[in-house]
Amino acid sequence: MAEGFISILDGSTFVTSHRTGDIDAGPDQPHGLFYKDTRHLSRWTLRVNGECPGLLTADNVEYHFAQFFLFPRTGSIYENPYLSILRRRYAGEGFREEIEVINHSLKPITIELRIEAAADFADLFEVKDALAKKGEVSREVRGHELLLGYRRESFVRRTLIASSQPGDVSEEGFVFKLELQPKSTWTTTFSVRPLVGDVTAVEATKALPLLKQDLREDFTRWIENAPLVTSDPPIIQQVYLRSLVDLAALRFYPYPDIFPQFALPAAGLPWFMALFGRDSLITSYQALPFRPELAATSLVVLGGRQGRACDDFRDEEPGKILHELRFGELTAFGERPQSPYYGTADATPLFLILLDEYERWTGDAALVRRLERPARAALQWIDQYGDRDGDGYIEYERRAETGLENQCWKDSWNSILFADGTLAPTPRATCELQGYAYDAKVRCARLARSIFRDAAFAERLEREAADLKARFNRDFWIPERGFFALALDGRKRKVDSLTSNIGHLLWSGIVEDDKVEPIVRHLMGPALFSGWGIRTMADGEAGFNPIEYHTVRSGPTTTPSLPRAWHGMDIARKRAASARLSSTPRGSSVFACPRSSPGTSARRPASPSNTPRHRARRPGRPERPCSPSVSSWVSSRRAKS
Amino acid sequence: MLAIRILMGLEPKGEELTSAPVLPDSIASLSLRRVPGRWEPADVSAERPDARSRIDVIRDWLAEREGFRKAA
Repeated sequence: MAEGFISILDGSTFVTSHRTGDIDAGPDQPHGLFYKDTRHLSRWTLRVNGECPGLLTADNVEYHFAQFFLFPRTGSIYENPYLSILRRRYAGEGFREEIEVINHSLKPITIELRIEAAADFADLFEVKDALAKKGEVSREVRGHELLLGYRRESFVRRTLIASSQPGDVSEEGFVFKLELQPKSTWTTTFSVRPLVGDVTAVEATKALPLLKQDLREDFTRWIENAPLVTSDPPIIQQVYLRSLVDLAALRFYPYPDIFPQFALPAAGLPWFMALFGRDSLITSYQALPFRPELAATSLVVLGGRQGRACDDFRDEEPGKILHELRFGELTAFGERPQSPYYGTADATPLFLILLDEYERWTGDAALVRRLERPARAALQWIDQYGDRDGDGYIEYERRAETGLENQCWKDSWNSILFADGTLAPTPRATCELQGYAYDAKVRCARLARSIFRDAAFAERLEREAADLKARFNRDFWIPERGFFALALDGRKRKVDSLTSNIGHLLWSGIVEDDKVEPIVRHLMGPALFSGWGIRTMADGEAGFNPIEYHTVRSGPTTTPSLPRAWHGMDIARKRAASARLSSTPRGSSVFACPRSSPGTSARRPASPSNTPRHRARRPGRPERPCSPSVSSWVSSRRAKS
Repeated sequence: MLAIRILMGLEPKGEELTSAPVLPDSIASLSLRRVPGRWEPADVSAERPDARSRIDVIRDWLAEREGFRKAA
């Protein structure tokens, strides 16, 4: 988000405003109140005696709460204002805003406070592409409430605005004529509630489901129920706490009316506060040791929306896991394919990988059994639809012009380049897709044997995985450069640029033992490893561009996904971890947290050993040091009953 | 979060959580309390007695990188 603006969010709601708290969005600016991919407020301005107040300070104190301290301008630097204006805004199924006006003087003051409101009901895609609306906008005063509306055939969206204090309500907004006594305070609370569909308008102030106390308690529970991390130096615990807060902000509730407590990670603010298969699966995987419930929701929701038919417009195929789900006007009328859109070749194997990893961590066999049918359908997709030409590899190519050109994690148009910088023609079989498919089959073989009780199916999957591994190591390896091709292109040529995708292969386990070390050397060499992280494309490749997205950037998708094949290669792992910690922005703030972080209590022992000592214990038992020679230490031998 | 899992080498094995930590040079200690899973909430910790300051680690890395470039 650009500087000069403040954003807060909760679930499907996000609000972006100027630092004064005002919203005055242009057609192509992502400012305003957005709810389920539609802008429900494009104008929300506060004026005192017709003028915009000055700004003292503003901050988003928590991800769902911002406050703005304002003052009426006096017109002269020699004259101090005697009024303060505070705006406190809480997001949650719309937003609540408290406005407080304080008279600091010893004299009564009369002012006019005006709130202007308007909504263009733009679809998020219309904002992105500056498209014109096709329906009718309306305004209606209903007693003390203002109802902003939009209708295009059966697509109806409305915004209901109400104030706790009586004022003059018009189609433009609310006006309050205040006579403030000396040292007195006047307060009102606005509720701004988005309404979806042609439902009966409800009294907004009573209908807001999440009050500020609820949000605060929910946030407190989220932090307190997560594992506690301490470190010396404290940078790891600071980064961890920040990650917890960010993850809390990204929680997305796919069924808020039926299951308000079930959340999964959305992809990002502001464009991607929606269900994205790849992002939700990878984030859930990474958060498993800390918040395993995110994985359960992601698996159930994505399994429930698995592709059932062949639909070129939406790149849908039976068994395929979705890429993106939207609820705005353009998808509702079929002008955009995200209802949902299935143009991703990696979400399906990633779904299977997460399913296995979730069971390994939680032991929740019941959920795996419940998802057996989607799991089998996903495996079927890998072989039948993912492998478009029967060559034994997953490849992708969009079936409609509106689809994504690249349907892997590097989804920008120019990410799959040869070493000479030319674009690889489609269909493209990127290397990490084959690694994911291998991993998915190995993992599902375990599930088939231990939970589905289908030994024959398990054996078949293991055979297929072994065959895939052998073929892949033969067909993708570039001996003269000592790494795997980024992809096979539409003519089955090896796309020979050096990229971070080879790190995903290590994670998947598809790399044969003799090729692990050359891959690690490339990843940690100066062409890929910048010191801040691992570049997506190596310095020296013709397509390398230091300000591009998938041709250079170091990032969280790239850097941490490496460890599985690094056992025994401690130097590489340590260096990657150091880089990731070092790349935390200097001066980045940690949100105020209900649970104070413990101070650094660990002391550095005088032991000369350079082997890390580690120990694990059950809470409540005396801590026992573990022999450094033991490579792993069992933390808990008793299973959950 | 995945970085913490990697540093602590956390892996489920059957009904147990195992840990094979590898701390970077600049991290003296790292501990997790109440790790959820199919086991009882578990505590895990690791120490690196020979940890150095981050400045020393970065300085060494830059020197090593320079050597790597020359060798290449």
